[in-house]
Amino acid sequence: MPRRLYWDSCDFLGLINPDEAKHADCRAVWEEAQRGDTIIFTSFFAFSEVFKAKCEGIAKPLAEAQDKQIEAMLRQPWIQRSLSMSGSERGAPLNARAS
Amino acid sequence: MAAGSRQDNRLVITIRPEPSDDGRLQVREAFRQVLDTLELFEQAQRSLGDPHASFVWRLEKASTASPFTIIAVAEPVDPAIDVTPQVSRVKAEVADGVRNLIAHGRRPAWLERESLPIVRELFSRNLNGIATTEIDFEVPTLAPLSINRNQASAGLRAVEAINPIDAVDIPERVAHGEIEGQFVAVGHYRGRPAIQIRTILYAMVWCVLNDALVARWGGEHKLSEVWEGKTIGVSGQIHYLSGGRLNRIDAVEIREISAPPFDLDAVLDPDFTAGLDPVEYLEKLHEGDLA
Repeated sequence: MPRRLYWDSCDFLGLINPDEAKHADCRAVWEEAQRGDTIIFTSFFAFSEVFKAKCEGIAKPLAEAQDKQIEAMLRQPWIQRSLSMSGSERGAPLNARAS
Repeated sequence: MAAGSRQDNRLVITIRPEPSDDGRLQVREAFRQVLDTLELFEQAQRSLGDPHASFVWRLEKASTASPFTIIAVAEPVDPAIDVTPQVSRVKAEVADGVRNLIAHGRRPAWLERESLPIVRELFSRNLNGIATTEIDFEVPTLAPLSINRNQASAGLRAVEAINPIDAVDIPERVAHGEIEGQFVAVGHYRGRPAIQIRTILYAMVWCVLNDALVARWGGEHKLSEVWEGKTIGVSGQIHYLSGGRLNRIDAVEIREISAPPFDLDAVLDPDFTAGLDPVEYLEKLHEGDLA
């Protein structure tokens, strides 16, 4: 039975940024998930906070190819998306999702 | 009172002020802290449910200065009954229950969900105006319980983490949406054409297909897809049983889901958050300061 972890947007940002203090830990969990030992639960909010964070000004906009790669990251089979009114498992009871 | 010593049935609650408040407590907060602490004992007593050994906490003594101390003594409703064993059980329940809640986040069985706000308030006061809440059980086998700022913080986190929704309270219902899972079987569900998917959250789920879907989807797919365990998304009416368990899906659409190829090293980017800490980055994103 794989262990179940919840990741918020900060964890995905920590995975993407190799200079982040938590990068090594996030990467270790990601590799566990790739092996089937962990399931990462996240919210659809992560899609808007990580994938859609195209911004001018302080941060540079994402290139189109990178944009797609971030979406691909969030759509890997070991990522379970939940707690949303759209997409997979919308309408499911909260307690069932959180198990 | 029969048998049992008066000391065994005694309880001492001490509320200590923050040093920064010149050693003086707010009267209202101090009294509420005592009342909420006593409420824990009363809840534990109710859950043990022995009407023959009922008792009430009577005030034996109270200090009028900081720290605020009250000494309560359990007196039997029926003077002929020795309630000491019951009082000891209640004290042990509270001592273990509060300690486990703080240390391990486990809700004591005697603490009703509706009463979680009482515990939340009790811990909150310990972070605002009250330095420590001490409970001396006056029983040699039970160490006094002292709730300080650190323990109150841990307790507060534990209370917040407890799901306020009890599964048994969730009624049977129907929702519209999509469930993803591995395609594992084709067959019948109560005489109707159906497929079965294996999901992470709900295990095996039967999906009943309507005639249009049988005609279209049934002709497009091969048996080998079942053995491959393809990932599909089934959308339609999702039927939940009471308690939140998924019963079946009346499918109106099925789509294949394939994970896009992904290389983690290709997306690594030290400038992704423009040098900002992820939390700061998200705060700026929410405030619109990044756009």
